Amino acid sequence: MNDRAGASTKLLLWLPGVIAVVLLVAPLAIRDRLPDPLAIHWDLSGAPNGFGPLILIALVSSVAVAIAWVVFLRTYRVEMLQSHAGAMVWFLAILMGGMEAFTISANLDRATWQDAGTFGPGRAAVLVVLAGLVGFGVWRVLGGNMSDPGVAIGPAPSAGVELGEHAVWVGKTAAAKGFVGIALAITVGSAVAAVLRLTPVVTLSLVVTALPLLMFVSLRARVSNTAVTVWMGIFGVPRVSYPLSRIIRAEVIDVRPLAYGGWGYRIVKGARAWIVRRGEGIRLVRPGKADIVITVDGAAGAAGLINDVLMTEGRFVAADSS
Amino acid sequence: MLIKLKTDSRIPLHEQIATGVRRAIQEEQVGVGDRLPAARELARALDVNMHTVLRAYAGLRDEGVIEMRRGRGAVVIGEVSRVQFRASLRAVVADARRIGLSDADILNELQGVL
Repeated sequence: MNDRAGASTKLLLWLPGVIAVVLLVAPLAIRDRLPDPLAIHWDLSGAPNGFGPLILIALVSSVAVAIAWVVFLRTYRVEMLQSHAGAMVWFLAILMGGMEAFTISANLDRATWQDAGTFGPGRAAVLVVLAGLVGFGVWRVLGGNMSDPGVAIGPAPSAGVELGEHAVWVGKTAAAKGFVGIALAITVGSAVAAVLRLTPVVTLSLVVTALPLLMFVSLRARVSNTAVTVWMGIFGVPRVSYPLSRIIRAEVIDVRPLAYGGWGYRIVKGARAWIVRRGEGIRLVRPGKADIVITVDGAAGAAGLINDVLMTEGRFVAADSS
Repeated sequence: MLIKLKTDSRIPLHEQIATGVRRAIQEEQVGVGDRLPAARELARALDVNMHTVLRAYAGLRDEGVIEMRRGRGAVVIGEVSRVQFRASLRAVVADARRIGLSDADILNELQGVL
């Protein structure tokens, strides 16, 4: 890594910490020019309809960025994870920084929070898009688009299915108990928030967090002689099917979620991965298309059947000859 | 769970399916409380009639291996050891018949061992 790259990486690493401090100190430094309480919430027309103490705004945005920053620093040496943590901290830093800046400018030199200027959904949307773009940029810079890190265990297996036999393989896997616990806790939390009629933002963010978690607590898979089908989560949605006609080989691999940047549906260079837990999984090798990685229990059975079907149809290609 | 079917075999298709499920339980690929694939789904994947799969499931239910629950489909309830025991018993009975023992003879032999 040359000096310039090193310097920009250092900036990516340390600047969020500075932003966290500025988010706390800046509003307090100009508190004489701000009403207290100040407007912190606006309706869809952009008129202020909610208020809160100045210190709350400063603390919430600063602490959110600071927590993400600490996670980023802690994960910096972990391959792949650093790019995701980096994207998250920068997304939050831009979002929180922008929201605080808009909030302060809307309240600046106003007598009471009701007099605050407008902050419409248009600006909020621009902010989210901007934060998303910066997050994506940081993700790319920190190597978020690295190649499929799954390591094949042994040669491509066989399940002993012969010509003239019909066979089907069904399997499933579940996330670690801790992950399931967190998913359930957030789901219960979002249900409680909905019942207690907390602010729509709180309820919506809990629901938005709970849904993908529930989607990735478990996975069901089926291998038939035409396709590999995957059902995600307790609802079985999304359901994806990968036709065997595009596959040339199935391998058993050891999946390390952190190497793919975490759990869920992961995109790395040359592969798409459905990850529910660490450990055994299958990789479907598809020439000209991204490989597919799926975490399943009894991976050898699944991969074996796929290879047997490909073998009987004369389409199997071994690893060294592909 | 891998289920294989030989369409040209003398063993009926539903028996082959049931054997596949039993083997999967013995090899602990599926355990107590696990749901078997829906009959329609399995039939489609194996390219057989849905009633063939239902017949296999009904047989497994009568053996106490699975339970058919409304809305939940077929759920494994048989303890692995019990299923294994039944499987070996079935093999013993098949052996006995092969050497020409009648059902009464087999029962007598069993009683002798007990």
